[in-house]
Amino acid sequence: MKKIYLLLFIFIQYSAIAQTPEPEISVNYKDQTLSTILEDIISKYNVTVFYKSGELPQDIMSVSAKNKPISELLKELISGTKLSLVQYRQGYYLIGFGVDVVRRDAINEEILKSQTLADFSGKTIKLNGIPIKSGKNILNGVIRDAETKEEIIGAAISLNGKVITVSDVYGKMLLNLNKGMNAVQISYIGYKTLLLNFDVSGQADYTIRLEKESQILDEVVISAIGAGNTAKETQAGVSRVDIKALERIPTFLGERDVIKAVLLNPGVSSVGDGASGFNVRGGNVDQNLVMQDDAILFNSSHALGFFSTFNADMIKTATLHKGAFNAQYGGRLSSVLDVQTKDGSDKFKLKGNINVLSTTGTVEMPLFKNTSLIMSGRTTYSDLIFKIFTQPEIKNSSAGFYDLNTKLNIKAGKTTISLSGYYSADQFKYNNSFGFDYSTKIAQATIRTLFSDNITNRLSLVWSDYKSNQSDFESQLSSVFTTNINYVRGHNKLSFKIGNIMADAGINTTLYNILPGEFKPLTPESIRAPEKLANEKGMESAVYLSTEIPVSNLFEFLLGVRVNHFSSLGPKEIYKYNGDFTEENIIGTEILNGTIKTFLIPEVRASMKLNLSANSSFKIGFGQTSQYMNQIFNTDVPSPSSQWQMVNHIFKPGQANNYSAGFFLGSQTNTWEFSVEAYKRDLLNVYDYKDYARLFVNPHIETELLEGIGESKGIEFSMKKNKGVLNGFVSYTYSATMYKIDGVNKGNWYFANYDQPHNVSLILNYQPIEKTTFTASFTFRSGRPTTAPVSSYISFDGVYVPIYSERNELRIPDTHRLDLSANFGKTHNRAAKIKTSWTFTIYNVYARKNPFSVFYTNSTRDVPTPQANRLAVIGTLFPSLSFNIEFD
Amino acid sequence: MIRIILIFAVTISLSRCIDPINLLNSENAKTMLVIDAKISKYKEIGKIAVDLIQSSLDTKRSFGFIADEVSVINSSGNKLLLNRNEIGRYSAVETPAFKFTYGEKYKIRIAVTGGDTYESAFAELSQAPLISSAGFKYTGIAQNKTNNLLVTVTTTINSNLKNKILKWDVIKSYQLTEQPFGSPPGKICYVTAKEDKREIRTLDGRNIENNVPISLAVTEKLADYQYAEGAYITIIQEAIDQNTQKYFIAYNNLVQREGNLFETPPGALPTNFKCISDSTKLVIGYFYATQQDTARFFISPTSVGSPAKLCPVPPNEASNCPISQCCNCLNVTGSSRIKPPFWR
Repeated sequence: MKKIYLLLFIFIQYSAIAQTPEPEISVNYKDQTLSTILEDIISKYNVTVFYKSGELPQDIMSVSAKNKPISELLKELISGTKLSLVQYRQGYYLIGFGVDVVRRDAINEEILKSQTLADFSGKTIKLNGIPIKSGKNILNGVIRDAETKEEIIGAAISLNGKVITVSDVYGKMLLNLNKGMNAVQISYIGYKTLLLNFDVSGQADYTIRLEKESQILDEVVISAIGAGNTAKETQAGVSRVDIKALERIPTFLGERDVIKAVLLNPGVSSVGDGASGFNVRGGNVDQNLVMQDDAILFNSSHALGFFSTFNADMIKTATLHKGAFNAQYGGRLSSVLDVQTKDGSDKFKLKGNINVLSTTGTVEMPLFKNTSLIMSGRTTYSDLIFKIFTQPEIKNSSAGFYDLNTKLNIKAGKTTISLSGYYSADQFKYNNSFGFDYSTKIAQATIRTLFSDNITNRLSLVWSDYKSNQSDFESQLSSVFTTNINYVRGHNKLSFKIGNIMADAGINTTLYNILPGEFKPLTPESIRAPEKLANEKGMESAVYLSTEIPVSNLFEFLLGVRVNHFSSLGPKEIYKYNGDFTEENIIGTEILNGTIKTFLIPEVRASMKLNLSANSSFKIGFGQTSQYMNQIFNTDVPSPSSQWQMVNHIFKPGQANNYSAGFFLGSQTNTWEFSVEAYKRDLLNVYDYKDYARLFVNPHIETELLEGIGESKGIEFSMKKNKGVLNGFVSYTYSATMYKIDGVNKGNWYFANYDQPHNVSLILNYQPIEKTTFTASFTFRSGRPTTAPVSSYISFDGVYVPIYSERNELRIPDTHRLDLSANFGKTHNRAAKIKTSWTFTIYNVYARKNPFSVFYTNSTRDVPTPQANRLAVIGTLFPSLSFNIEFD
Repeated sequence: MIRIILIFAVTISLSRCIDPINLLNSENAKTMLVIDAKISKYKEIGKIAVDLIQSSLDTKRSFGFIADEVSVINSSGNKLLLNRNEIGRYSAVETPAFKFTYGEKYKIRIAVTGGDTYESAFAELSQAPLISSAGFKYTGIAQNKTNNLLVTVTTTINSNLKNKILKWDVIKSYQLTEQPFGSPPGKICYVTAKEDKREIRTLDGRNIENNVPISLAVTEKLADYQYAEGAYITIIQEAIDQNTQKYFIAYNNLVQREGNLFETPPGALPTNFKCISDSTKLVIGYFYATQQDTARFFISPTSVGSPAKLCPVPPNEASNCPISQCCNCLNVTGSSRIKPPFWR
């Protein structure tokens, strides 16, 4: 393992130390390590001290001084050791072995040399573009994957030991550099940190190529913005998924799944194994904005929820925003999962993955000059598995899914055009009794234009169609229930930089056309009468401005404003009521044309970071969010055919005020990270169903729903070890989510049915040798609320009647699970043309029957009595094996 | 790869997806008083019936409840005491001094040992449409045991009716002759039981055309052995208000629950009772008042395809008489050797 410096970045300038008096400081440290004291001095007195952590003594020491020059104090601190001190510029000190013998004018050279030794990538680059006289000059850089040439989004760029910016969605960064030598560090999760020394004499463009990390020990399973940068990111609650590490996360049947990685984040949970969707900070599953590039996904689940529709081989980045998210996102209350797909490589590549469930194949190739194509497909052979069973109900069942991604990327000068298509389809049938099938189609075009060094633009157009069928194959009443969501979306985002302020301004609009539900007889013999609700239309639009303002070394702000507009569009037949929205108050109907109802809702998003030290910060965030369509369901989880209901003249937009505050601490070597973050969300206009609501094909569904308020709050702890033979991650969340709705639970507060107070995730990676990795994953979640029988009786007619509790009054058992995986043969030899590896996974190691749902029947005893039954979707140990192969 | 799939398949087959768990226990259990009460008026005779049951999580521990006093009170404050017929069952017939009158409102009051008093909300005795005719429709030999017998009524919902939601009770009486295997026919029994006990049939008459006769199927059945020796169907038609209908919808949902992932979630059972002496005391159940009309008809075996008789049944390894009513026809709930008075 290479030597790693505690402080990888050194700012170097060949200037003489100013002959100004050295500042004097007063300190009083008791029982601290030298490292701690140095960190404190650096953070408090605006000085830079370079040292290697491994060279510092670990002894506990006490020191006090009053009005003492810093150099004097530093000398005192290292007295008694073999360390030496050199001040080589005003405010810059170097502590190390033998540094005092280095001539002052050679110090910078020595430092450069030591950096090279430490990092192996530091090199000096002369930027001699447009000549400058003095002062700041702009480096217009693009960060790319050295191998695939793809832009890297979100790479952290440090200057002078401080993260000053991250690369944007085009991998682009703008740096203000001083004339002369500037040391810049670029780091991104899964890539080797790169140290470049820019010798600046003029403005210039430069492409920075990051190489993938060859030592997998330094990778982390899931990380915020990049290893060690949690404390430095202005915005709290942003997590990026390490796509390369997906294959090491133990998953059901070994299928690499980005959603399963998302679920490891503190504050993120799901209602059970195999449940579709996920819950973020007390939000329901329909309150997450799930995006693939610029397209909104309405169902990101395959196999009813066991897997996500995201093909891991197509994903470039996956970012979860769970707090006060950036103003460019909107339309959902809770979170944003932004998945960006790859652009394709300029050389031919083939990649495959075979596991017990599915096969995935990906091909990347150049078509013409500056034109690349990537295609990836995935299909299952699960039907084969069903046929093996002897039980007729399983033998007569079937399930399967497939998806296909394709993307064409054309670069023409400063413009890049991307054309992509996506299709996914699922089918599930149980015992010729009932079934689901659903599909998503997406076509999108994106034009990215670099207008100038400081201005870029991204225009995207999206068309999407989601259709689901729920079939009942029973002979007399055989029917199919269909829902459909179709939309066209346009989005334009302008990114620009004014001075140190980076900003995004944009406008987007989406036109929805939704079929809420239609029943059709499935066979000629069916007596089921056809029934169809009229299509609903709505237009959701927004303008936004988001700015990142580095006020000082101490404070940074992320400010944004978003103005949302929604129009419910006719023609639509509406029901008129004389009083409350109940069936008995219906007095007639009326057909409305044009715009039925509009909503204009401005939102403020703000985050502030207070830098407590170079590696610790305190952040607060506030964000207002609103939502204009909700998924209507009264089951534990939405089914693929659960109806989406847009706001209209009756249903008001859900609104939330999100508050968060947290402390973030990272070690200087990025080895350790710790964070604690508290959040609270106040919800307005939340809806829940009435008891015994009829939701399917109900033309006046407002009579089945009730409106109220909600609240969720919680505190999240996480600790991460990013490096070493043994690394990993642990998080704990305590939370509560409650609703208060007149007509439910006598109008009192009650828990949401996905409320899980205690949530623990643990990941441990052990890599004894380069090609072998063992991973253990453990999760614990409190049992979620349920409405359960609390009493019963038998009527004088002999009918057994269970009596249920108030809504969500009881809780089902806790869920916990241990999964293991071993990855063999993963080579990091970049010269290898063919790379193969095996992944062996054991899911649910101790065969815990975690309840997906608990339902209640009569006991089979002579006198019926309420009986709780646990449905454990994966109630046993599941081994699986995957084979991965890559051709370059 | 095939080997891998087989390992996977075996693993799945070893798993049990659904199993009972001990979630419902005394810690969560509640006991409450269940009150079912109805005033009904058929022709010119009004009567009231009140059933009291103490519920329990363990159904074995639920029982008919004995009250100190059960009474019905009209809006003038006059009171009629009910008699206890058996444990938990109370009834009374109107008297010259206390008449059940259409348009009058009534409430139930129950005083129990310990001093607590339960009271219902007032319910108005409302008129119901009369049954014009009743009958059945046989649709032929049943395939896959699907229903092939529709029981129908014809009625007219007048627009001036206050309660236009119709509710039906269907009661079947059938003849059953016992005949052990290898023996000649034995005694004859008459079995009377309410049909569709787990599904209270209602229809919202507000959404259908008023003042014209309508024919409706009130139940669908399979013409099985119960029609092999002849059967009588008695239909009782009532009219209820929307709140009462909500109660029966909830009741249907609770008693018909099968337990599956996509089932409509359970909820509270609406009630119009409360404990007026102690608001913390739990009570459920419903009280309503309605006019009734009754229709009855005979279904001969030949009119429904002459279904096979139940008995005799050959013995098997477990029992010499696998179907006990074939050896003793009184073994069926609601069975009697006394021929019903309407049976010809």
